[in-house]
Amino acid sequence: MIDRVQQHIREHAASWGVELPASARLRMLLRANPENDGIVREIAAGQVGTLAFWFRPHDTKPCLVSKFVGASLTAEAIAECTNLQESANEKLGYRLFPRIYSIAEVGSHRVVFMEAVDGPNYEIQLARAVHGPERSTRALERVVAQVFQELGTALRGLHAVTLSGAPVKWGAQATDYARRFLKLCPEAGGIVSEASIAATADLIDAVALREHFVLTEDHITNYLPGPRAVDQLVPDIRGLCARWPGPVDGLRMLVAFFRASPIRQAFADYDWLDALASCLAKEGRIDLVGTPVRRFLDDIGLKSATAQTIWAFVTGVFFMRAIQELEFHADNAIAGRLRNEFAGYARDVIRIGDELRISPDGSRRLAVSRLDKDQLDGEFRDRDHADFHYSPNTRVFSELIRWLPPALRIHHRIRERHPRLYRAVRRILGLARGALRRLSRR
Amino acid sequence: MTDAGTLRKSRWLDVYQCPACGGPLLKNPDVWECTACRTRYPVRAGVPLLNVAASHSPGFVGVMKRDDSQLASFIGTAESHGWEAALRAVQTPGEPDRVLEAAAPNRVSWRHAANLAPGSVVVDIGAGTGGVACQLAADCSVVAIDRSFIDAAFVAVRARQQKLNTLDSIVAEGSRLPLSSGIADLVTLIGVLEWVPADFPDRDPRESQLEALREVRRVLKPNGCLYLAIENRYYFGYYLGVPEPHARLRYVSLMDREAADRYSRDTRDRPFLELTHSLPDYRTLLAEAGFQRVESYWLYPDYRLTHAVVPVDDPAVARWFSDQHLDPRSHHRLFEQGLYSFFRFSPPDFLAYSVRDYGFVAWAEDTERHD
Repeated sequence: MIDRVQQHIREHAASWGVELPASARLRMLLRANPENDGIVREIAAGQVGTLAFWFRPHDTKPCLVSKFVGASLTAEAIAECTNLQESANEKLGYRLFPRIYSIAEVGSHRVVFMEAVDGPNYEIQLARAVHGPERSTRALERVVAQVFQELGTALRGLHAVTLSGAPVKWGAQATDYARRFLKLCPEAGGIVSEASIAATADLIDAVALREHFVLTEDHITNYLPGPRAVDQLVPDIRGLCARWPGPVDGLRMLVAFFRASPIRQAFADYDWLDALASCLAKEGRIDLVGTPVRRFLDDIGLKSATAQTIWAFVTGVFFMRAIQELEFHADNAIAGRLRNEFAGYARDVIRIGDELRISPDGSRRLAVSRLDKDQLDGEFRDRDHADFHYSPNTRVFSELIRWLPPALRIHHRIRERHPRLYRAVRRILGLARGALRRLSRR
Repeated sequence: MTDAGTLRKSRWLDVYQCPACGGPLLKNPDVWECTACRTRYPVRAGVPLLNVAASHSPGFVGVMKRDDSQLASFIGTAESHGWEAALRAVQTPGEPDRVLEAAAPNRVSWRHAANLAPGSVVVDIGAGTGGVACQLAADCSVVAIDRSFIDAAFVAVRARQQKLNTLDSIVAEGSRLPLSSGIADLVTLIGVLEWVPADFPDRDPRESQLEALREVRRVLKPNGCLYLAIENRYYFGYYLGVPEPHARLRYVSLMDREAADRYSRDTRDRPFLELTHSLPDYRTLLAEAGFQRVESYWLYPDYRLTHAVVPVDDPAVARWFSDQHLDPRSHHRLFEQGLYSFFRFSPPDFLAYSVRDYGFVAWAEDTERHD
């Protein structure tokens, strides 16, 4: 099977503009979807399939990628998605989506051959900035700024690929999401009233939206690898574009971003909804998240919207997100805890919305940002300075790296080739240690 | 125990031979009989016992349950309430979810590396609860072999409930396979080879492993391959005090074999037979067993649920993987942060110490297959 994929690559690489050595075997790295561990209900996994990264001998990065797609993705759907991606790339003026070279039936699999995209995705970058040994507030600041700047630019460009010229009202869909959420999460029954739902829908309907090409992944954090997007080969691209018109597409990812575990870890003392709300304040203290988020809101078409309107959209998107997570984890042991968690968040969403209604400009509640990097969680200390040895700038264990490989090699060589000498040295060291211990006792 | 008649299999793959003499087997519903040496092998609950002596082993299910007295009801539960319910009943709190492990598609995420094509004949040695065998049986013909009757009977029930007609489950010994020569496109040995010497405590452990590999080589087609997944003897974590997972002793795999054996006898009254090796040693072992071409992989995070199959023959590829894909959240505690740093920032020379589980695709002949 994989040999036939390799054969296909060899036969067509020249026409794709990928240079390959004449005879040497390509190296292949397989990447499976972690969701296929079976911990969560399979939604996207069947479509994502397995990725094979192909490396020329001695290359330090892959030269192309082949992707084994699931049966649910038809050739027609792939063709439609590819066309939309290409027109998006043209409108953007740069290649946001990787070039798809070819789609072929190999054995019983449909395989997509595409350009390899280098760079860790945002989720990895964010996790390193927050959880990695090189974690620092400055690293987090850089990653957050990069995420929102690149994502804002990409969405602004995607909005230019309009699929429907007619204005769209999203209030009815938001109402539908709210009711579905209440069915899935009965714990929120007394919290989300019909009046709140109606008020939210009215605010949303005051803004006319357009249907356009959307980013199909839910998490921006695991979506864009560096400055490039992954492909968007999904079965129902038109349906997704209809469901997420205008700024809804961007806000989906904003909510997901604040729900991402690295961000919640970084602001452990703060509720993510308060964090998000504080970003909407026009006159808040500048902090590491607020500025990029406000710029992002401008990029997705909410520049002139009031904090109250933005929050109405956030509320609708929150219900959508909650439904998605609750359905995703429906068969999982954490489903009950998740329902309680979302009921609590629903209370905060409504509370913040009510406060904004009392003070529509957001000044009373949101004048002072609650996200202050001096108050970040105690474990999350600033490490991004030259003296800190975990920093990627100074390299980890730089001294260790120099002497440990040869030392270990010598160690193993002595142990394998001269076992008697090895045992003798260990014995001598043991005796010396014992002698030192006895001396220290005296 | 469930009525054997309800579990009777209508059609067996045409690949079996007598494990004692290599003669043809007459497959009666209740007994298989060698037409050459007349040895009779009983069939219990639809599972032929081609090694009666070892079939009492509690197997993987027994290890999960930690209580052999309840094993008798296990197959009955699987039959009456479904295989998933039976596994849930033996789940030990705090251990990985065995149902997920048995059903997760990532159990076979390596299949492209082994170049497995639909319709192939696969032999899964040490099938356990059928996590690999039952998934491959969706489009391949599979012989699931286990030395434990409980495990083999469980896989048979599971296969029947999942309507996998091309899966045979049998009790047999990995080092004496009851299979004709040159019948398999793929043989899997996942977490099995290190246990082989434990069956032959009086023999040199490495020789036992070599013999098992030669036996695998015998049943492979000329262009067939072995998928071997096993731990690295010199994994970095062992230097930091992570217990060796088979013997459950610290530092034991790092010691020379004699010292390890003495240490094992002193601490657990058993010789140290669960041999793992370094990357070059595995390659040597496979070459000695007659495999012409060996591809080596780092199975990340482990060989059970593998998210990435990373070639280690070229350190640059593993370096790229570490830089682009390792997520510190999987290594969140202080000790694991050390390991994470080691993975990500260590030079390529250190790769041999960073890898916990290796995967090897060993080809019987050095030819590329075009199915």
